[in-house]
Amino acid sequence: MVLSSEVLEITIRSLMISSTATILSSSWSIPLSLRLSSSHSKLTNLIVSIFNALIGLPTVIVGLFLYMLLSRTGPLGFLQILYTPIAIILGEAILITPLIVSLAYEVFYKARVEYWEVALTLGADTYQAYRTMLRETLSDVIIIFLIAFSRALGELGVALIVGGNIRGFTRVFTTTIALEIAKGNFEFALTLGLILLIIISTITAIIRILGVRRE
Amino acid sequence: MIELQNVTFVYPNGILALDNVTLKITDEITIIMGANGSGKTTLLKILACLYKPTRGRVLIDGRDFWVLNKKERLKIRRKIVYIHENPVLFRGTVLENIMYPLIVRDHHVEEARKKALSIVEKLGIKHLINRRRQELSAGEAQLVAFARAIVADPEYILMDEPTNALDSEKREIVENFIIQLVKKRRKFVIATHDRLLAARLSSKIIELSEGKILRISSSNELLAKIKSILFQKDES
Ligand SMILES: Nc1ncnc2c1ncn2[C@@H]1O[C@H](COP(=O)(O)OP(=O)(O)O)[C@@H](O)[C@H]1O
Ligand SMILES: [Mg+2]
Repeated sequence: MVLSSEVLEITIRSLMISSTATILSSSWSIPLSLRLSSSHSKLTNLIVSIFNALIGLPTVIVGLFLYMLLSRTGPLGFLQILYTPIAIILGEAILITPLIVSLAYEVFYKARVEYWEVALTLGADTYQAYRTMLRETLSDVIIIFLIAFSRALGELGVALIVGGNIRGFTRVFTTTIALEIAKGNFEFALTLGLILLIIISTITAIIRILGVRRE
Repeated sequence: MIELQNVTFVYPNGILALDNVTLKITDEITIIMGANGSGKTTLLKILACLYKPTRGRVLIDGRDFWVLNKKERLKIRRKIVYIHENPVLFRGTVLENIMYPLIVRDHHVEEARKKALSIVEKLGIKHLINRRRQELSAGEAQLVAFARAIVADPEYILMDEPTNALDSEKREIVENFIIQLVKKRRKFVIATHDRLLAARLSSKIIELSEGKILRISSSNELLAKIKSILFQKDES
């Protein structure tokens, strides 16, 4: 095991990037799924099925798409964020959006039938009813965040393509592991792999505990 | 007054639950009867302004509810409460549940607590206030939902099969409470299978069948019918 300062640095950076991406993505995914869950139209059904279909979106596709947007000649090239942690955050946030929207829609749709209606008839305004619904579904929403976070933490395509795997700047678990294996540096790769595994297993355990407590 | 004009309601899956229903809620207590699936719950939710009719209008005190703006809708909704057949309680204690309608109406927490406590005392469920929803029997949950519905003193109370889960003692508590509230000029619409409840309480009975109004009658007629049946049995 090589527990160097570089390992620590990569761990912290990976966690920071993926959690920021999860928060960022939630800032639009959660309001969107709340909105979708309160409508019955055909358009809503269509949007929901599109998001469902996009859950399995290959990470390299998102990476490629974002690369084209952010590259110097792309429409967003002037932002100059290609090969920065911001680009990875943005890419991962986009990547996990269909996942969060689909899962949250399911949760909110079920809650809407019950809690939403009850909140309204008890005199809540729309905002209060949304708050009540969020409160009732909090443990489910936390589970969704954790699932999305794991997906962001474990993905390679986006971080590699728009992060550039720059040492001390954009290097995260997955990109480092890929690089170190290519260099034949198995011990370092294994250490990082082990840490990643421990983090993901911990999250999975928390998800299970939350899931059981909810029943 | 709540008035429905030619209300039709179709669920998203295409089921026609109400078919061109026109009625006025004018009486103190209106009972809705009808077989399972005849549209009682749907009708109550339309009256409560929770479901928007597919066609037709819902007038509350003469105003078309579904064309009003958000603020006006909220004001009207706060006059009407609907109690689900299977009560849906929120996370938290029974007392917190009962305080909810007051809290969303911006009452002070202490005041809300006082009002909630006075209601639970009258309903004889004071011993339940610190329980959570999973620690209640169906009948207890029904009483809590009833307490929560009336704590903010709405004008219209719509109850969906309220006595199903209640034993005779709890049933009597609820019935007496309804009578008290009627004296305070509150109006009830109650969906029920319970003919005796209908006969005892109501001044008007609406019978539904397959989403249509089959008959509107007074409880005196029903009472007379029940009496004649009982009387015949006594004689034989
Ligand atoms: N959420 C729903 N989605 C689709 N159909 C429904 C829904 N709720 C009720 N229905 C249908 O609408 C009709 C009327 O139901 P309902 O109003 O619940 O009747 P009741 O309360 O008299 O039993 C029934 O045919 C029922 O199957
Ligand atoms: Mg029903």
